[in-house]
Amino acid sequence: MSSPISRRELLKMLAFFSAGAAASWTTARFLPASFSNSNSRPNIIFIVTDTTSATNLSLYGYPRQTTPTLEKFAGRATVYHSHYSGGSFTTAGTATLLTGMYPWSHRAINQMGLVDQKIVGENVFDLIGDGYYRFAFTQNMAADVLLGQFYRDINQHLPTTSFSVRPDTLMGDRFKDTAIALNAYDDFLFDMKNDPGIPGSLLLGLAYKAFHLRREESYRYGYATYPLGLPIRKDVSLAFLNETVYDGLKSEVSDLWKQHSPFFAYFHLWSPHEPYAPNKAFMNLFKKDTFKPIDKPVALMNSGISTSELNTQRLYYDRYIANVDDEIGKLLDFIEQAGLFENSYIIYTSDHGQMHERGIFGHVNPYLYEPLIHIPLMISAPGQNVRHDIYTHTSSTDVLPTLANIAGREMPAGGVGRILPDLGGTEDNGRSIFSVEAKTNSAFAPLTNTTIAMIKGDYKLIYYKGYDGYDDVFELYNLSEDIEEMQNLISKNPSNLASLKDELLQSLAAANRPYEKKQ
Amino acid sequence: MKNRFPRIQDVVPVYAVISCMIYGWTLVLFFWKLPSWLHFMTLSQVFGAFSYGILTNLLESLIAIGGLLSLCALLPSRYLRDSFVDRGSTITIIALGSVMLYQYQFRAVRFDFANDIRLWFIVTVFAILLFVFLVAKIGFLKSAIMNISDRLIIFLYIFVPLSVICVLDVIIRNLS
Repeated sequence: MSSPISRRELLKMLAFFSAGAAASWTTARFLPASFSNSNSRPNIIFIVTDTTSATNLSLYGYPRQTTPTLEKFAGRATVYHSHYSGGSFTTAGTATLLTGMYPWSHRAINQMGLVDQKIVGENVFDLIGDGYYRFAFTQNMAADVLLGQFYRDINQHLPTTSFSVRPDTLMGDRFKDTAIALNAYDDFLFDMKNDPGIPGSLLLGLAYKAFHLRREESYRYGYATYPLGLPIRKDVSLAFLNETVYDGLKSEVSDLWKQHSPFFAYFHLWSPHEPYAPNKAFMNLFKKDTFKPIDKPVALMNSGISTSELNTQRLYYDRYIANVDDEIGKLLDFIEQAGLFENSYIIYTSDHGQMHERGIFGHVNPYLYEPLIHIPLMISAPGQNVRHDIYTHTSSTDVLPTLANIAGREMPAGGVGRILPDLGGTEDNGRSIFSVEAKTNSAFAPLTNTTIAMIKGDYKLIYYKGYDGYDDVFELYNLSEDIEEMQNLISKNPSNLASLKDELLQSLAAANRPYEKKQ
Repeated sequence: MKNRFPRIQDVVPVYAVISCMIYGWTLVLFFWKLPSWLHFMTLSQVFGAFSYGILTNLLESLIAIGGLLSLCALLPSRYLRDSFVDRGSTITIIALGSVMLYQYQFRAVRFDFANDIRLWFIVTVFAILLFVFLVAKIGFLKSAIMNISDRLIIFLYIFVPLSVICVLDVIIRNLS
């Protein structure tokens, strides 16, 4: 029996329709963000330095003079003294900054995690709107994959390797389809992270890892100006010179100002993230100072690092902050010379802090003490030339609604953030601020392995859930009397403890509810 | 020169073994990642990441078979070409199996990585020599290897068309 369509013809038709469908779907998905120029709005320059704890900045009273430039900048800005990050590491902290949601809502709670697909459209770039030319650059791969999720709302997204010593470090950047290629290669096929760190590519993944680690060793050292080696992100072998990066930012700001005003520029810089690599000019700072960090009790889940080693690391961190502060100063000088202060908001903040105490180094740990979540925030409004100080508690969830307000856009529905005081918002001392840590918890399940910090009034309540030997444990500190968190007040059972516990547990239960239904 | 290479019907089963191990590794890890990706990425983005994976697998498998064929051309024919199916498959299983073990065992990035690889390489070469010898001497092993490689050819009917689709997808994604 002869068929009206032969098998060969059927295959041809299938191939034709598949190619057509693939082409139309690709075209629809990869259209760049649109931009309609309107010069009446102020520009917004958003500078984020990774891993910058407010507790180590002289701007906020740290005894070592780590931030003379930021203190000068504060003279024309609003300084938020009690500002908290939503998370204690890049993914959670940055996602909070960019979505205005706490980690238990955006769900970017794991290392290198992404925000829930359902809320991808609710990001700062979308909110700013197409009245702005939206520019994004980060050196941190964990933040870059988030920017990759928001690609539809970004007009220009610089590769994360820009301004680095070897800009050809990441595979994903070699493709036009960068957002997906980065996920495919640098987070899957050629994964070089420690956890789980198994490349999806059997042969080339291994070859890539071996090649890059070998190459990194060969070029990281040997710079006279960087005695500890070049600043580097180890898991992607991304080495750079801070001065080159900041020079690059100046060039980008200049281009944006000339060609794309009004613009919204998001710069997220790696330094002062560890490994600390201050420039030679800063290596002798604080060498003979008399400052001695307070000796705090060693935490249960510590990293096994001695106090003297932690103090040495803290010294390098402080020097590195001073180095970064100097580079920010040069960038701010450039912005001033260009006259951009007159018609731009300049925002400076961080994604999370860093710890050098209690036997703990870094920020990959279950804790939410002040050094980890107390971060800087300064905003200079157009033409501002006096300093304002805000002492009420603020959260990184507040940045997004504040930017919406600046851009004249509607506030996002259901957001937890508020417009920052002095920029259209009001001070509310009775408000509760949360910070959420849940690196090891599944992003799709209720938070059962987590640490939650709630800051309300004078008090900070920390709740640990699901840790071996430290499950269902509360700590309470009075921050107005004990900013170093030395006196756990839980055993004293203050009168407001029950209501604070209730509020924290109810908030956690509400955040978990959608995920419990799915189970 | 043509005489230094094995016949195409001998190359196909060895390529099938290579493909199954290389594509299989990526597929296992892809399905391990998939629940997470479905939560955070659209289906088209997930398919895009999958396409890059399959494209990479195609390159890897061609490099691997190319390496074996080069070895075949370099060595006297009695060492590899004359028993290409069993010896080629044995070399593939030991070498790629060893890479799998290494990838799993030493997943953390460490800076003595290059030294680890050198040691691992030497051990793997010895293991290959030992197993090639055993396969040549033990008839049961030889027939098992040949049967396995022959039966794995069926997977090429999946991997080859899949690779073509994925290569096209990557090209389309990078055209604009």
